[in-house]
Amino acid sequence: MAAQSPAREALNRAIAANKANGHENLGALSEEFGFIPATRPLERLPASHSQWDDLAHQLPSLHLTLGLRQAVEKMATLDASAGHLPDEFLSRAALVLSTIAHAYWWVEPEAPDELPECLSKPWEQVSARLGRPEAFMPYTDVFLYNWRASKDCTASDLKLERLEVLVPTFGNAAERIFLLTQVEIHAHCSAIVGAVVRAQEAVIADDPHKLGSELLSIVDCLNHITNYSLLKIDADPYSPTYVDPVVWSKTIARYAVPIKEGIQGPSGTASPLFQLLDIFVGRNQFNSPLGQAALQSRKWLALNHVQFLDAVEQVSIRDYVRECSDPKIKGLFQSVLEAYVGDTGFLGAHRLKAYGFLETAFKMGRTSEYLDSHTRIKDRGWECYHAQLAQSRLERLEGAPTHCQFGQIVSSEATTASADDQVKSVIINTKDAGIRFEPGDRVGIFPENSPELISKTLKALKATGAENIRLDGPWKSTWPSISGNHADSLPLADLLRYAKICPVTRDSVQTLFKLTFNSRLQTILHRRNETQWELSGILEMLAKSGFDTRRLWKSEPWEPENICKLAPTSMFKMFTAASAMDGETDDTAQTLEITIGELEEQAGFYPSSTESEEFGEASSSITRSTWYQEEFGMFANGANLTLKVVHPTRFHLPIDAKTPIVMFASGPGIAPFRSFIQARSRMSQTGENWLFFGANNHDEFLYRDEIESYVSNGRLKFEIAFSAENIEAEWDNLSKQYKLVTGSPRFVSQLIESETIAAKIWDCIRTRSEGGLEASFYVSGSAGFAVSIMSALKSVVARFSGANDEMDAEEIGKVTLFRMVGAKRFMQYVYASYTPFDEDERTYQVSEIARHNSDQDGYWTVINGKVYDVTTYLNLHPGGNTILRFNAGLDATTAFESVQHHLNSEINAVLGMYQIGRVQQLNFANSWGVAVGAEGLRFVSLDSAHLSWVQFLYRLVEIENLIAVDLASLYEPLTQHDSGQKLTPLKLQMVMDTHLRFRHNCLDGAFSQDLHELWANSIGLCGPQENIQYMQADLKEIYGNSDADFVHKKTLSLRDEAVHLLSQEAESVERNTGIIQTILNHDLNYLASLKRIVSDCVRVFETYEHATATFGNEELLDTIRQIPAITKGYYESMANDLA
Amino acid sequence: MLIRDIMTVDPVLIDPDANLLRAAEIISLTEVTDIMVVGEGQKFIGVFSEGDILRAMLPNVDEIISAGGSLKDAFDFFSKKGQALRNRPIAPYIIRNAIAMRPNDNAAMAATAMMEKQIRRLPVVDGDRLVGTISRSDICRASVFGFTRYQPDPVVLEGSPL
Repeated sequence: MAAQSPAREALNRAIAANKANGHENLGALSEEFGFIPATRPLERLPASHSQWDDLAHQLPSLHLTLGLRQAVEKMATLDASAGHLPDEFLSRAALVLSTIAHAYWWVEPEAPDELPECLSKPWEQVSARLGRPEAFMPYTDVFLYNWRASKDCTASDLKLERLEVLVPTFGNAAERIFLLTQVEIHAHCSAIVGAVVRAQEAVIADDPHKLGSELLSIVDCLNHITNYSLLKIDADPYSPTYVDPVVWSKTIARYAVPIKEGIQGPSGTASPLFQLLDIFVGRNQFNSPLGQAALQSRKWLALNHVQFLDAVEQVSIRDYVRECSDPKIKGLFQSVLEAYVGDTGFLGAHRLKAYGFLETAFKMGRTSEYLDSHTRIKDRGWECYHAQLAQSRLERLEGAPTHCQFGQIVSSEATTASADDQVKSVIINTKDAGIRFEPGDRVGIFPENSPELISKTLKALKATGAENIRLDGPWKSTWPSISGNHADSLPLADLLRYAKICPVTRDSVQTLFKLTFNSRLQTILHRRNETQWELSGILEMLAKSGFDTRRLWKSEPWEPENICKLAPTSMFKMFTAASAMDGETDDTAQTLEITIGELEEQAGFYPSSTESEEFGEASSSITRSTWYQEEFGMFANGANLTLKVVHPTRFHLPIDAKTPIVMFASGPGIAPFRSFIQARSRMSQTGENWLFFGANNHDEFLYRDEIESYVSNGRLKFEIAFSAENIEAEWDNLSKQYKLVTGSPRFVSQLIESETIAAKIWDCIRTRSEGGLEASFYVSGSAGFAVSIMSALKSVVARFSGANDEMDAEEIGKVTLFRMVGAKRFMQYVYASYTPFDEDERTYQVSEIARHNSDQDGYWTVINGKVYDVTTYLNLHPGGNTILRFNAGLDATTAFESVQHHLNSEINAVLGMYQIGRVQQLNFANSWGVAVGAEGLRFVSLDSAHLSWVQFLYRLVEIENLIAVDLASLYEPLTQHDSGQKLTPLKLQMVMDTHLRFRHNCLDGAFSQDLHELWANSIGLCGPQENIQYMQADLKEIYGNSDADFVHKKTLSLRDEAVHLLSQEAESVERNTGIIQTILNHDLNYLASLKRIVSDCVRVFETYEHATATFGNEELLDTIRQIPAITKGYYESMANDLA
Repeated sequence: MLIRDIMTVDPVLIDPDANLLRAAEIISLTEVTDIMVVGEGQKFIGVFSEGDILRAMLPNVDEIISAGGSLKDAFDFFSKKGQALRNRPIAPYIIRNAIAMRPNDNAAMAATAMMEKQIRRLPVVDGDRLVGTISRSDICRASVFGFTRYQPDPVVLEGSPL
């Protein structure tokens, strides 16, 4: 018999050792449970050590009253040596002691000097006995050894809903969901341990087929945890598994921080599961700070885990796949990478989720470092950390084998009898692609330009197509994902085939404009009409005015006019799978079907003829027929296509097949529902499938035969509405077909609200506990269609809600919809519809936008110069409303792009539903002046002066948002016994932290430098007679005066006294609550006044634009002069009230 | 000290459609480093600076590597590239949002802008018309030696409040 593989041997050794020991102190490891303990975590220590259990049990209430440190200090120092505490209790002891230690350390704003001996001594003893280098809080203790489930649960049953936390620090919902979801993730991934071992065996035995099936099972595990488990940590307040980011930040996030420098904390990088996956995908780059942390954390793992990981690392799967000739294996390995590291893979989804939580934690986490001058909000620490997450994620892809998943078009047919074949069904052969997809998945196809378009472009370039073009950086790095090969140069014709030349990109038009200053290009840019031009059209136009278009391919790749820059690579075009895999027989997809048509134009490209009319040359601008020629040309029979399957996180069938589904589609939006119905019709028993379809006329009755066959065998309930023809469809039971009879035109929304259907819809909306069917709802269509469906559903709820007045009914409708979204029972696939440039589009001034960041004024936000009113979207945002509130009233472009939202066409489509206009562009006509700076005289442009005022205003808005979110959470229960109604000592302390944080960010010198610079710039432009030192000197005096000093001392002592409040009379708690209320009112008033003043300053620029210095000078300076006065007033009145 | 009292009133000009060879010629003949680009009726369009020719000629890392990778290759590339550029239009190199002075601005403003932005000569613009230039030496001459070479000519400042 051949020798065992290293991983198998290490696994067996670990299992044997744990069995022999009768405990898993060397590290839990098994095929059945993965890294989760195979025997249930202990719930009690022996009676001799019950003191620790008892204290741990009281942690939530000790937090509430801030009596925690006292209680810990009263403990006796127990002996944890082998003679006193048997081995099998060590894991439990380590969990309890580390939890108490961290709670002791972080409970109050100031960390203690050291842990009391009664805690530190046994903790060190236990850690040493477990073979740990030091006492620390391992991930495997605090997450994986900290749950309880009923005895009969197998690994796959260990779900959040069936688990309880053994040793909670706070006992709040956020903690429970955050901790237990990670248990669920590890439990679900337990199969990965076995799969990795078998994959190694397959590689050693050179058995690609066996490797393939192990890769598949890893993909399945990862997809499940990404799309189901991870989503349970949900920032949406209407979700049943809501984790309030504010509560999370103020409690759990802080407590996980290691209490000493250089000690490992329980972060995800410390989980053996992710270490294992890193090794499996062959990560070899650890340069990022998080990569370094991941390397470090291996040293802190348990012995069994270290040995197992080392054994897995001995055989490189990545290298084997690279050398493997089977495209399917390469495709499957690619799928593992996508499922783990990809944008919609586990780490991609994690990164998206982490952003919102991190921003909250950085803004209001209770770290004592908060009052350190390096951690002001303006330093935006979370963005830095977030960038590290992104960097670390991409490191895993470095050096991975390049592979493309290819498919061939089998057939491409019109879906209706009509000659106007605007909708086609395309079947793609994917036998060798090694892909898998689920109903509802998106399919990316890399577009190819038609030979006609290529030759037209070559003509405009005065080239033959054979010219060898050296590739620039972006082309070089993208080419492998298009072709599967590396290349340094390409023939011009090949480059044009995969380039974005129809329509031309805005960047390219901008570059060409800079080179030529052609006035027509300027018009195109100004009207954002570039989407109606092909590159060839633009080039021909320029050639007429003397531009030598050969420069594009004669120039070197780094020159701005080079063809590589002006014709960048296209991007994957996204479609939805319209078929389902046969789960019974297929391990990978044999074929894949998509529906293409008008609605798939997600890039927002919708040709019209206005531009050509304008210039009187129809030939050079894109016509509708060119577009369809291009769109459909690439789907010619037999064509080879580069594919990519992307799983959307929120568009899939319910896990429980018995759940009914209700689907709403318009036009080609029906595509994903074909895959839904196909998949469900292959299952033996499912809930009802109910499809609503909206068409203009009978020609658009797509997939009629298919629908009729589902209806006749009882797998589908179907409703259709024709909006532009006087017909209705009637089911004829004899012929098993729909008959079109005379009727009135209707929209789907009207159908929903009709008498008989509305009642049934209401049944589907209600949850099972309300006596309903609790169906899952899906909408697929244009943004307008989605809006109409949503409002129809709301009105159905309102009608049946039983509410007395209209207002109540409307509110119930809204909340019901929020709950459905929160429970992931309402999912949408929305396409953008193109809106042409509108001269009359409303524009908004920054000073106006900044006002909209509250319930009263609504919530607006700016992304890339466009203004959005997201008030109604707050509770529909999958990432929760906290992050939207943080970004209200200001420019959120950075935040939006940090999470790659701008690259997601579906997100852009949803955003389009809320756009109300754009930001007014101001004209400063190059005006400038000279200001006094630190080095003497310096140059200051009016433009930059305005920008610095805007930035300052946005900072105030950001602080205002932060405080609003912070105070809104004041009455959220923070710990188990916290009713949330009353201020507890813990909360009093936190509120004082809020106040101190406010002062730290807004007063006590925080703004001195900014205000000084704003003053200096302003007098440089508007007030040559003014003294440069005025602002700084005044503020310095105010911050140092006796009122400020008194306020400072008094507030610090109030925070520290919170500890003693419990022992005092209720009356005194009330009095303190009153004082805090007063303090907060002063803070809010000051912030509001400052915002008003700064906003007025910005408005001066908005009013006078380039004449600001001439006509707005007095107004600007007078407004700024109010700042020292209100600052002085703040301290004065606060000191009065506190005295 | 006001700009109008010390500026040069007959600046060196170039047409926006000229090529780099023409620009190089003008610069070497006049020894003026920043020449003014004006359209019809003295309409100010921008500034063309000899620094921009040099900047266009200096090879970047990719170019140096493609030329062979050595310092010698880089130097050879530099001279070749200069010749290759001669027929290029100056249009893309024109600084169109140039920092400009007005005749009634103070000379200290010009000095500040020049030092901070490393510019040797600034256009003096009245409305959209070029009325002169102000250079570092104009300011030095006027302030250190205390005299101005050219008397301001009211005809030149047509349309200004003077």
